[in-house]
This record gives sequence, C-alpha cells and structure tokens, in this order.
Amino acid sequence: MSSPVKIRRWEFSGDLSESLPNALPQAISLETVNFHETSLELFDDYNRSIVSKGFALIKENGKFQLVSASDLSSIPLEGKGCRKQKAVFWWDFEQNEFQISLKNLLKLRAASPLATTTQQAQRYNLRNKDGKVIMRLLSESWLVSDLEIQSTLTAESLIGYDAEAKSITKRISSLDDFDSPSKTLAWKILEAVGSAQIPLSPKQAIQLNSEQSVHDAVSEITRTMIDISRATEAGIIEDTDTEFLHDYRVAVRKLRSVLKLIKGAFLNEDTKRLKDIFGDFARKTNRLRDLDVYLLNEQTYRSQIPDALKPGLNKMFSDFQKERSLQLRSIRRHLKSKTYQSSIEAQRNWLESAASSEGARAKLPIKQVCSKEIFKHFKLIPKTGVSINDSTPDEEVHELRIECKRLRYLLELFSSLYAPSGIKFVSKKLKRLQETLGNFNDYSVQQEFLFEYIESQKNLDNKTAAAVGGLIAVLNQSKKEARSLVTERFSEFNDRKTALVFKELFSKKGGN
Amino acid sequence: MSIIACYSSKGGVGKTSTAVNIAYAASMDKKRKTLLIDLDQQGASTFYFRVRPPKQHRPRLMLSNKNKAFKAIRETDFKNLHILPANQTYRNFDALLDSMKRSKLRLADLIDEIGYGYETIILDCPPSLSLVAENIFRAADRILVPVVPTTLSKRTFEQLKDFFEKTGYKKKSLCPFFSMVDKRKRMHLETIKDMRKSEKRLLKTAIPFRAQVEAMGVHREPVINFAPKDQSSVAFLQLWKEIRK
Repeated sequence: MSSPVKIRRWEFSGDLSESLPNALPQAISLETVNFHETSLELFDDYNRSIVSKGFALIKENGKFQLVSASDLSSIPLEGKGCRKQKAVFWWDFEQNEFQISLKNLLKLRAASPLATTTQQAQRYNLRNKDGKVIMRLLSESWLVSDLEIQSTLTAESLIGYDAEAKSITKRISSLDDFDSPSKTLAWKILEAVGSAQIPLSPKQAIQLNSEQSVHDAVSEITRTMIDISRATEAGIIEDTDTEFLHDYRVAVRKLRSVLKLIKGAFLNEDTKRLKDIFGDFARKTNRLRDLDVYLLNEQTYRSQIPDALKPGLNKMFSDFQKERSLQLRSIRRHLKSKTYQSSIEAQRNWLESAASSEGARAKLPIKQVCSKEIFKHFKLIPKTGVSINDSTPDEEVHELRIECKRLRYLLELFSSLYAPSGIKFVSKKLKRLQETLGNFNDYSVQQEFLFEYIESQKNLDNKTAAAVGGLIAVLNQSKKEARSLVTERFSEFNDRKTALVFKELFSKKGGN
Repeated sequence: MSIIACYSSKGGVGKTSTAVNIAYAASMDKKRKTLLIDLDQQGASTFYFRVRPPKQHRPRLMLSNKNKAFKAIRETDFKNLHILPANQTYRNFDALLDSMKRSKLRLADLIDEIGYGYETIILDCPPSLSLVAENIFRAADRILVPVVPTTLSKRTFEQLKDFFEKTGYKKKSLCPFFSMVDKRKRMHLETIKDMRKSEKRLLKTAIPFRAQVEAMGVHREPVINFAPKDQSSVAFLQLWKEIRK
C-alpha cells in the first residue's frame, strides 16, 4: 500500500478564507476541520550540525523527534527512552532509526534547546459533488514569542484522487502571494531568536590570499584561533559536551604550530612569549582530554576483552570518572581565573598592535614562505622514513610521525592558498600514512596510561588487575599490527606521483 | 495481516453494514492500515464511502494485472481506511474465475499482492455459494457470518457448515453472529436462545436492528462516524473488539 503524500507547499500571506475559495472549481467545497495549537522546542548543537544538514531535532510534549528542517510537521523519526530535559547526546536514546540518524548528525556533540516555537495548524477538507474528500489542506503558522515568522499551506493528496489534486494545486499556485517557501523554517526560527550564527570552528580553513604578508597572515591566524578558543570556554565550563575542550585544544595547537612552523613573522621574543603562554594553556588541559578520550571509548575497550574480565574494568572507569570531575573543577577554576582571563586578553590585544613587532620574514608574501616550508617538510619525510624497516627502534617511527604531523598542520593552515584538488590529493595521501603512525602512537600512549594507572593503585584487586592487564595485552597486539603496516604505508606515500604533485604545488621550480 | 470476510449466501442480512463499520472500527483502532475490498456487484460499501468506481475497472484486468487493481484503490475520507471499489461487471466474476487455472486461489493471490502494508483487510462478499465464495473461503482468516435470528437464516448457516464439512474447509474460521436483532419479536428471542445452546462458535456480540443503520444510505458514512452513541455503533465496535487479534 502507499501513504497519502504531501504534494505541494506554499508560503503565503494574507487571509486564507478570502483567497482560497477563489482558487477552487465551483463543484468543490471547502470544509474547515480542526484547529490545533502546539508548542515545540528546537534543539541543535554548538555548530548547528542538525539544521545545517537539513534536519531538525524537536521536542514536543516531552517527545524527541527528528524531522525535516523545512517542514517541522513532516513524518518524524521518534526518539525513545530519553528522560533528559536539556543537553542530549545520541547515546541518551534507545537504538532505532532515530538514534542512528542522530549519531550521524551529532557525533560527539550535545544538542541543547535553542528556541521555542508555536505552531497553529488549521485543517481543511476539499469535497467533490458526491461529498467525497478528494484533497486535504493544512495551513500552519509558526510563531516565535507571538511574532509570526512563517505561514505555509500544504496540500495532501488522497490515494486514487491524484488528478483532482493536481488540478487544484495548479490553481492555488497561480494565486497572488502563494509561493514556494523561501528559506528553511528551522533557520527562520533560529534567526528569530538570534541563534542562526554558526560559530567559527578551528577545523575550518582560514581564508588567506597569496599577496598577504607573512606578518599579516600569521597575525590573522593567531587572532582567529584565540577568538575560537575563547568562544569554547563557556561550553567547557558548563561541560555541555567534550567537543568544546577538543576544539579549544585544536585552536591552541594551530596557533602554536603557525608560530613554530612559519618563523620570522614577529620578533623572536614575541614569538617565544606567545608560544610559551599558549603552550601552558594547552598543557593544563592534557589530563582532562586524556580522561575524556578513555571515557568516550569505554564501550570499545570493554568489547576488546573476554566477557569474564569485563566487570574488572568497572573500578578503573569509575576512578577515571572521579578524576575527571576533579580535573574539570580545576579547569573551570583556571578558565574563570583573573590570571588566565587577563593573560589571554593581553595577548589578543597585543596582536591588534603587533605591527611594530616585525621578524626577519615579516614583509615577505605568505604564499612564497609557506610553500617553501611545506616543500621543506615534505622532503624531510622520506629522509626519516626511508630507513624504517621492521627492526628500526620505535623512536625513529615517532620521529617520522612528528614530521608528518608538522606537514599536515602546514597543509591545514594554508590550504586556502592552493588549488583544492591538489590539496585534496596530498592530504589524502598523507592522511593514510598518518593514520597508521597515529594508531601506533595512540596504542603506545594508552598502554603507558594503563600501566601508570596500575602502578598508582595501592592494593589493586585481582579482578581489576586482570582486566587492565588484558586490555594492555590487546593494546600491545594492536600496536604491533600498526607498526607492521608502517613500511607499507610509507612506500605508498613515497611514490613518484605524490612527489610530483608536491613539487607542482609548492616548489619554486614547479608550477608556481 | 489479517483477512476478515463478511459473508452469507443469503442477501439482506447486514453483510455490507457490518463490513463498512468493522473496516471503519479497525482503521480507528491504533491507526491500523485497513483495506476494504468490495466484491459485491451492487457496490453498496463503495457507495457508503462516497466513492465512484474508476473507469476501466474490470475484474479480468484486476486479476491478470495486479497493478491495475492497485491503481483502483481509493483513500476514503478516513485516513487509514482504503477501499478497492466494486464494479457492475462483477457479475462476470464467476465465469472469469471458472475459466482460470487454480481458480480457487486467485483472490488469495490478488490480496497477497495488493494487501502489502495493510494490517487488516475486510472483504464485503456477494451472496452466493459459488467459486467466488470458495475464493473467499481460501483467502480469509476469519469469516464473519451475519445470522438474522429466524428459522430460515439458521438453516442457511447450517447449509454453510455442511458445505464446509463436505469440501474440507476449516469450520474454525467461521464466526457467526446475530444480526438485525429485534428484541420485540418472539421468534428472534427464541431462535437466539435455541442457537446459543447448540452453536458454540457464535460470537457474543449481537447487532440490533436500528433505523440509524438504514440511514447510512442517506449519510453515506459508517454509522459509527455519524451516530457514535447509537446502540448499533456500540455493537459494531464491540464486534470488532471481539474478533480483532
């Protein structure tokens, strides 16, 4: 069987009871059915991830639903099992289609209530001369704090009456003031409450131009990254989700890497001061981020050891949870402190008037300088990597990883200066190598982390020891597997084509 | 999916009013997707839903080309209730079925195909004991048989049971119930008393004889919709509750 379908939507202005009868053939009568008013809350995360992808998360009568962003009364996916009122994650819901969709939209983010809107819905039936309903109409007005932001009319056809519906929709479309909806309803609602602005994300590339001076470009990146990190502070303090801290750290890392990798923008002492201050800020959050990562991966860890050992992890994760609370408290104190606030503000202000602090390469065009740096770091990779085989000490693998990381940061920071297709190709190549190196490193670090945990515990019970020991063994195995892939991934990266593209994009002798 | 037929080989016993109201009750019960198939050439249930049979709607096409049948389905004024309308040409239905191989299963095949997605399918059947009837017996999970409490109706039901016995259909699927009961008539009361003793399959619900049921022809709606408090409406809802799974 098939379901009745919404066949057309119009945005309209004026009085329906006056305009609509004019559009109907004589034999068709308009019957006013029921009126319904309801209020709903619109949820989204910090980046407006849901609305940006054309969906809307709404809560009506305590029930969460995922609907189309342009039609909030479209057939919903329904969320089940969530009792939370404010910030919700995908894992707060029972597993069903709704949960899967929400997971894809939100990832690790929490969605919070951003706006409340009222829907006034009036239904109509259109009847033919037999008195049979042949089409249904739904007029909806959406209000935000008593202000109407959109009125739409939706036509629904009945099965077996498509021809009638088609001819009537054509007549309605020809009326004045009946047009296709101009903007997504969910955006309009967000605009009405002043929440439509998508905050800057550290992952977005900063738009630079080739002629900008090094001083100018580095200042711009530094400034933007300070602004982004400051914008995430509230989310970290409220502990809405773990992505706020992550974004904060990414922004600080980008700020530090641009200073480190593009030297000579400012006077040396200024560069060093900025690097030191933000290095301190980043280090303060290390432990909290580590704990976040372990807690987010709890299910993965549990799935990796035999069922019998699983209960042994309870103590460790509850210890992590306790430590996280302590860490969070101290980060909150730090971020709210006068020392931090005045220090970060002072650096931001300094950048506004940093014109006088000119390093050796301050006046050079940025593209020339960053091309040189990118090509230099690219050439360093084979130098470290070519000697790696299965018996090379781990230190050399770490060195290769760090070199790759530098190159990746440079590509991320300056991608706006190059052809997207070229950047896409080299980033993809590099990413594959980096993934293996990253895994290798993550497994080593995690192993150490767990060792430290065991060592820090006095009188560790057998169950916990066995479970954590099991996990360490699994990590060791994964680490070995990643390590054995390094040579292969390196040779994939170190081919002629990649070298040619790098040369083309970044070398003086290349296409530039 | 459950398929319920409203059947009697006798005419004028309340088959169509039962089919129409049971279908309506089903569609209102937890929004069950319901399809009413009007197999009666008089098309009374089609008329009750204000639907006109589409042109070019012929049983031969319907059985040979299922897509045609699918396209003939109409949504009634009630969202979860759809109808496959009747047509005058059903009078050729028997001849048509007779000419086909596996003729006793053709209707079951058709329902299998077009019934996808429906939770409840109600068949409003023509009054006969023929191949169409046998198609209905094969297709339906339960067969609602209205019995007016008179000697003649009782006899008709006995004949139906005999037929089931002889041909090997399962008598289990037969659900007789009293229809058009007039409590002022002594014969009705006595037949009810009598049959309740001997016939264990009889449903508890009895549908009273009411003017409002006859008024369905004027309103062209199920009586439950335009007179929900009438005794007949209450009884039809009760009947649905008794037979739903």
